[in-house]
Amino acid sequence: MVTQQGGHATLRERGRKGKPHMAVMDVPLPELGEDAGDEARVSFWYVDVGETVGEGDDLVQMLTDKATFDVPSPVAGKLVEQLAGEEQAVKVGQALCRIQVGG
Amino acid sequence: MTDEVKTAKKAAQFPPWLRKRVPARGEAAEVRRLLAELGLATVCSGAHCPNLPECYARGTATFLILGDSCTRRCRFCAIAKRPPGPLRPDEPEAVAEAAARLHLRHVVITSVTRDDLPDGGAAHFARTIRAVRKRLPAAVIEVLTPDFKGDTAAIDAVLDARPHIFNHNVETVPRLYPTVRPEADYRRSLAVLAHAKARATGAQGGAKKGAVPFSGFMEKGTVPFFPQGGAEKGTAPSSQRREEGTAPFSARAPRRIYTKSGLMVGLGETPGEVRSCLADLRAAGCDMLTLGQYLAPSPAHHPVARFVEPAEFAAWEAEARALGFAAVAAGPFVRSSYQAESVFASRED
Repeated sequence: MVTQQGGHATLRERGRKGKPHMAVMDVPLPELGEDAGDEARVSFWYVDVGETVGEGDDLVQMLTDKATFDVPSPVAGKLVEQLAGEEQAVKVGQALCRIQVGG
Repeated sequence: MTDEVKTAKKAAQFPPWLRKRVPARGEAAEVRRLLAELGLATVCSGAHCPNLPECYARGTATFLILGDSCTRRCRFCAIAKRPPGPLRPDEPEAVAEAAARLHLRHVVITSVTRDDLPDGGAAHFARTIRAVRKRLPAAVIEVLTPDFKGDTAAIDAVLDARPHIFNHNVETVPRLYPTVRPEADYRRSLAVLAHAKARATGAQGGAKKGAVPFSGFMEKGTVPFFPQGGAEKGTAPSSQRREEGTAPFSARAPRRIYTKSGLMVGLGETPGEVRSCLADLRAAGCDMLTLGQYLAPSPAHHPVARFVEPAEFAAWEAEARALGFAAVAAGPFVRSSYQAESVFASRED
């Protein structure tokens, strides 16, 4: 199962490849109450591509059938890619964006 | 860009108070791994509860026993409605194991409704309560049960395992039962609570034998699920004492069993209907109340009629306390077992 911790694993993996300061981490959509495999919709991004973000800062707002969720960044760094645009559905565990760790 | 600008960019689908922040760390994943390892279901996931990320990150979950599919077709609930399979004999021990590994001090056990089983799964509930108490003698055990079709022997079997809290939700006001809980009956649910209260009280003090503080609800053409004196039928009067006298972990079994119920608002009920429902619950001796916003699990479920504002919940909480509930939790994200430990600790009686 891919989870937030899965994101950290990706980070470690990339770190082992010898570029720890340039590590890019995929941030997966965490479970928002629904089962893995279910979807949530991107409402809007708090952070644009190229902007820096602190660990725990809001990255993106998601909508499920039941509520609005602010998803924080699991790591400090620079947002290098948004993998889903506004209104787009993302599955739990699927990558939402990529962050260059440490900015 | 500021948050204000970005918020204004999109028309919100939910009012601002129906917004949750996801915990940044991965503790939730650990809970999910443990549940998967032990093959346990939770109502958190089954009901698509928006509190799941928060509760799992705090290391809590509400166990769903008797399988993960339900024999009833309530229109508010996301739990699968397939024909259920056989009971898992090791489920009580698995729940106890999970509760122990999560270091829970307050364990909430709920279930699907199993109208296909002769006892509705009551014996399995009782086994689960006993298994959890054996592993975690100091934990508060709360059960949230189905109505067992009003079968007093089934309710008694659960009570005889001495949970601290017997919770059964009325869910909504009686007028909405046909569309929200078509196979349930409001008065039967009240009678379940009244019976649990009478039984628990009677077992404790020996008084009130045969007195179901609820006979008023048996009039008005409803099915008399618990006619006068019916509380004694089908029960094993001595089993309570036997449990307390011989069970190896009886010392930690509670002397008093609290009753608890809850309802959802925002399904189309009127304030007057909620008010009489609260009065009905008090008349049934219900000790604790939860009141939360109904949220539709999908567009195929019962639609949300209204988003109730936080101030209204606060007013309901005050009104419910004035009615004599010992503990009340009311708020948009309040669910039956949401922060159950602190709700129980907040009781004033």
